[in-house]
Amino acid sequence: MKRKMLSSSTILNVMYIPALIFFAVFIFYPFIEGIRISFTNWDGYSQQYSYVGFEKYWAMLSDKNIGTTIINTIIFGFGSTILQNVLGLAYALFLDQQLRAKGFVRTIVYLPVIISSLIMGYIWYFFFQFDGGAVNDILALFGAQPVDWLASGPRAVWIITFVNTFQFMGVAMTIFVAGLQSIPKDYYEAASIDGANWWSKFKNITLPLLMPAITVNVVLNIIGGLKLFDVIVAMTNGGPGYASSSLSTMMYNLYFARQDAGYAAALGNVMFLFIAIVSITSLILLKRKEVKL
Amino acid sequence: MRKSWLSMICLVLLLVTALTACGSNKNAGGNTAGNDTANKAETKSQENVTLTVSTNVVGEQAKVLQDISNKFMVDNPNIKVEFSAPGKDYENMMKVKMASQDMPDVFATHGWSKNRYGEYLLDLSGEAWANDLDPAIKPSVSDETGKLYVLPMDQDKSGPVYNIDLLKEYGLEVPTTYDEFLAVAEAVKTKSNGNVVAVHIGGADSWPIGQFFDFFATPLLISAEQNYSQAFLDGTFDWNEFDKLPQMLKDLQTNGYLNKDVLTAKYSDSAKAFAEGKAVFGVYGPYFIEEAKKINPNLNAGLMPIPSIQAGDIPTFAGGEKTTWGISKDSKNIDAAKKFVAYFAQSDNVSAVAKSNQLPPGLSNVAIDAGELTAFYEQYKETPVLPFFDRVYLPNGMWDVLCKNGQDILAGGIDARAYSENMKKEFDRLRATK
Amino acid sequence: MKTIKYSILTLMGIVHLIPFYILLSMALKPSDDTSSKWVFPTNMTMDNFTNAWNQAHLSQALVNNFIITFCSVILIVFIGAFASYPLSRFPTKWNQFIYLLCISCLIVPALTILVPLYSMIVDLGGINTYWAAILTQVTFQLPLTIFLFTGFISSVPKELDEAGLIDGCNKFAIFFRIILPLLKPITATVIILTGLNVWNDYQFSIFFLQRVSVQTIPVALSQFISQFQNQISWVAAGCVIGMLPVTILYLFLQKYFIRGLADGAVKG
Repeated sequence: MKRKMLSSSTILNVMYIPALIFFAVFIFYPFIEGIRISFTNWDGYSQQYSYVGFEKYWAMLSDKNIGTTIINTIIFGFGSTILQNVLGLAYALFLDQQLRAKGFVRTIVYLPVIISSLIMGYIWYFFFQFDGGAVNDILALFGAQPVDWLASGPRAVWIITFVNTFQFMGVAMTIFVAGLQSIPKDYYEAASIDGANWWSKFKNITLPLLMPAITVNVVLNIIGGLKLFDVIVAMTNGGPGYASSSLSTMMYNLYFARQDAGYAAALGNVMFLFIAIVSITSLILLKRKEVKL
Repeated sequence: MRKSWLSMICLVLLLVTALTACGSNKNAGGNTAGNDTANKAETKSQENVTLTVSTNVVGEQAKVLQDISNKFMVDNPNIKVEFSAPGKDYENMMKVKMASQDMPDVFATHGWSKNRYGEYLLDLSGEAWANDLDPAIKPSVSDETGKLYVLPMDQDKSGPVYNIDLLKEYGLEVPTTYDEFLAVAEAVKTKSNGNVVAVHIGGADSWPIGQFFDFFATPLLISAEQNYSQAFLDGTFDWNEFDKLPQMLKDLQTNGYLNKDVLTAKYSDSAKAFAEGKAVFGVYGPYFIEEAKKINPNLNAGLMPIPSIQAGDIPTFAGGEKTTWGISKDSKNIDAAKKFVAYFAQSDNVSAVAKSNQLPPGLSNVAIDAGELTAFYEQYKETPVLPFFDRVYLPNGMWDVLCKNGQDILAGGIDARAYSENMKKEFDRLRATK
Repeated sequence: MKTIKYSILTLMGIVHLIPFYILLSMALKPSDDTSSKWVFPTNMTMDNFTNAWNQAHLSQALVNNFIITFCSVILIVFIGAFASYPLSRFPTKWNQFIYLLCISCLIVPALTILVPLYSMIVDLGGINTYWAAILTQVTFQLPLTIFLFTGFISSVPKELDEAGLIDGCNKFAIFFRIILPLLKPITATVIILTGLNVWNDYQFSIFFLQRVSVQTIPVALSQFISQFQNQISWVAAGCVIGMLPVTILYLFLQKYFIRGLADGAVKG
């Protein structure tokens, strides 16, 4: 009997074969090609190139722009993950109360996801613009000097993180709302009888039971934040210089503008490894913390 | 339950196969059925072909090209032209296409016919219109073996543009040397109480900064009697000499001649400021006037040559190809493509294209008709036109280094020396791979 | 207390409507109106809409968007649901490896695969065809789909499967008879999230769909921006047009959407 069950479940594995075929053809094969390119000095378009071994990987170590870019990428990744989760949870808790029109507000908070990120970046650019930007106009009302918000790399990085958070926190919020709704109400009632206050209920009931929602959010946000591209292109194009670049925009720049496709491919592979390690580790760690109902 | 799911899957599979069939049909056929029957009589002997055509230009200029191409289709009913103008991603798209050897039959080369697209282009020197080529543009689009890379419909003649009314208002003359240029900038700053900036650069887009370097590298390093052109070409240039150029840009900023938001303003902001009379000079080409006029049609703007820097030198224009058609050497429809290009070489078509860009035409049998700019081209007829610095003296791929490091020096991240060092590093790398 | 809560609620609503306000104001302003983008237009015009509609051939682009998104989403849902069943129900070492492999496809940077992928599609004759666009979009959305579906399926109580076994169903029948019908709410989530990604995709579509007859909206709108010119107000207008269908779809699906998340992904 046991044997039979085992073999029948192995047979079920054919069900993921279509998906694997898709991945093999459209992702694995080109990805392996990309690894090959990273060992060449190809310029990205001509037919001739030569193999240069690990040269492009070593070059990263002495490239000071790569350092800035990695730090920025980490801020984009972790900054937006933390912000989206904290704000998303706060919104979800607030909107979980008995309030009229909360469904409507939830819809509004979610809607920015519908605009493409590139357009979202342009829209927010008009806010932080030096001349005629909304923020500076408001400052002027109070008699303050205008600030060139996006001119400083580190500040631009945080502004971009904020914009990314603004756009996608609706997803995080929705996942949290759903998670909150699935927590049985009697848990809270029992705790109230024991005299627990709001904080201890939150800490002992809400948070542990929200762990699965947190896992989904954290994994999706980390990957999204570390791969951030469109918003940066629209707002600063990675500038001034490379001061607000992410690994994605840097790679794009190297590939097309600098015509150093080998280097771009090498950077892409390092980026892949980096994101894979970070996101899969957090996936496994968070999964362990989840409690089953 | 089960049955309904299964039928659903079948439906999807059917749908996908149907779409696949549609897609390949379109690929093979080209002409629509209606066209086929209508033209059957006259095209019986000729085979129907579909030409793919790509250009980097958009807007009004693209419309002019498209209109001519539509006329071409009317005159040649057996040739169908598929016209595409993808906008800002054109260059990237073409790079991917080159890598995959999937070039359109006819495409625009936006200044790079020889250095980037050269190995993919067919020699057009045998074409009838080749004899009419303007001698001024010939060196940019042909090489010493006689290969002619593209049809240049117009030729670039770029220099800074300026607001005529503002200069008049402040009683200033168009500068001919860089020192005069600085004096004018200083006068603008004091006379306007800082309300009008001398030079507006949309640095967030990075290429406008590159434009500054591209313009002023020529008078600094190339055009004077004593110059470094040979040193650049054989790779022996002493990059310490380059320090002056980034320093010039930095000094403009320190002296308050640039817009305050030089790092975050975009090209469109430059056009806006120029249109509204908030900036006197734009370090862009003639196209900038047109963009500004979309905002303020009454703008009175002029074109000037790039001021000279070295003693005894004279002002120059930067020039080269602008709107071109080249034919892919791997095209399966070379005859139709040649017909298409020859159609654009007809004098009224060349004239229309050149006019839409407000530039002199690329063929000598066509008169200049550049709208309001014609007067300036006449006025500066004798001014020498030198090729854009980066297209000749820097290896392909350096442009972005010029721009990004320019941002960096304006942001205070590096100094002029570091700028030149970064240039040298990429210069050597890109030369080595060629 | 109530008033404070409602003022916070109102503020939340307003803050998140800001981008739509800016977008609309951009789309309605004539191009020579250079006032700050956050000042609402004084003399509204529909020119931007008509220009965008005509010059970008948006009617055709909308049809293309519908075809590509519809077909992609159907394939995504089926292939994704199929793949997720064994991966979440039978987490052997091997299947866990496959699961992580699927997740890592979510991480692959688009640019590293772009050129090899493009060359391959050229060799297959797939440039400017619906099928190539659909198949690539399906591939890029599958990892997210599998991530959400596996989470959902593992929250479906195992007892249901066992009841099915007793009834004499084989494992496939259990999937079709018991699991699939239960997937409806999470499917709404998958449709919204992946459908939106496909609908708005620019990074790949700009390369694979160059011909006007197959262009999607984001690709068609890109022609309004080039180095030397831009018509950002036309882009904004086109963007509003492109947003309408998805917004309606979202409003229509949203009651399932929240339930889907509640029942599924979040129970782990």
